[in-house]
Amino acid sequence: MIDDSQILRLFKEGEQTQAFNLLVRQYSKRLYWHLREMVGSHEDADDLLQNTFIKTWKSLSNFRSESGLYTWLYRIATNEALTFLKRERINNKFSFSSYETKLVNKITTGGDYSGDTIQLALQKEIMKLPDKQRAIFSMRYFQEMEYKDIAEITESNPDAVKASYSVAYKKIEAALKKEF
Amino acid sequence: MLKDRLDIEKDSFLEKIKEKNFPFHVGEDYFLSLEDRIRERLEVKEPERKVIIFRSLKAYMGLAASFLLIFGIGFGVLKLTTNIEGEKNLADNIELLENHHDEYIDSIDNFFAVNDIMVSEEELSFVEKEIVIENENDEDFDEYIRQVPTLFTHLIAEELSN
Repeated sequence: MIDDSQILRLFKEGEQTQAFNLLVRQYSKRLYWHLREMVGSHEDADDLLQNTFIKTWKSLSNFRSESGLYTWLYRIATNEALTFLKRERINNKFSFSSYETKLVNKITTGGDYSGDTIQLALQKEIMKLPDKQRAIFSMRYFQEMEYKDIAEITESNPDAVKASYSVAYKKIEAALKKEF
Repeated sequence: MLKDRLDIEKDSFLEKIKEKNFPFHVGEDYFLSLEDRIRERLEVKEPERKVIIFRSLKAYMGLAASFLLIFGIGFGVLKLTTNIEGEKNLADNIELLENHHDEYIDSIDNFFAVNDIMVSEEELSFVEKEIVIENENDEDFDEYIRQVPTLFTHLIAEELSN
């Protein structure tokens, strides 16, 4: 695993392509799974992941090291997903099926899902969360990120993130207990 | 019952699910080919977008100029033909629109903001006062959430009944 400071140094020394390739290799998996948890389908997560790295490439020269490279990348990715979901919500306004139903259906339609009944139930409950709360839940529950990092990514404070996570956690837990 | 098999008396439901294999999969070569695909998009899209944006701007500017001309003619005609009472009504209507403009924009923002909600004021104050002070460490906070069954139950019950 390469240190972020090495990637930034390579970029500043003019080795931009090499720096960018290292960045993609270092973060693509984590960012992909974060996006997949937020939007449900592989195609949408793939598109958003590419958009994230394209925006990163264009903005890397302006990157200020006050925030870590890792939280900065996650912030770009999360904002891409939230914007996408907002657009989907608007486009779904005149549809017969609800926005949440469409998100839930995306989980299993790609053929790349192999979870059992209870895992599918968990994914469905996650998809019912408000978009930003889903992002927070995904980052803490699946990726085990620190609350202070999640707060930086969502441009909030750790207390609000903790409150949001705890509500989401208990909401999902109660729904699953009711079903099973 | 599934409840017994998962032994939730000792462990949280959600923590037990986390121990299972991750249910999503992606092709092995997906991440290997990602760099090339991103590079292709960077090389291809950039020049086209600039031309398209410029052409769109020209069209919109033309449209905006047409609207301004029509509005200007209409306003001029209205000004010449209305009496004092009419002018007063027009001024009132313009003032009404200006006063409610922010409310209209707020209502649009609020529609979208519903899904930007992270936490309500009530939930936040509860966490700040009751939990955070004693559970500053992230792992301690998570353990607290798992152990306290009654946290926010009234809010959750309301949510589930909707």
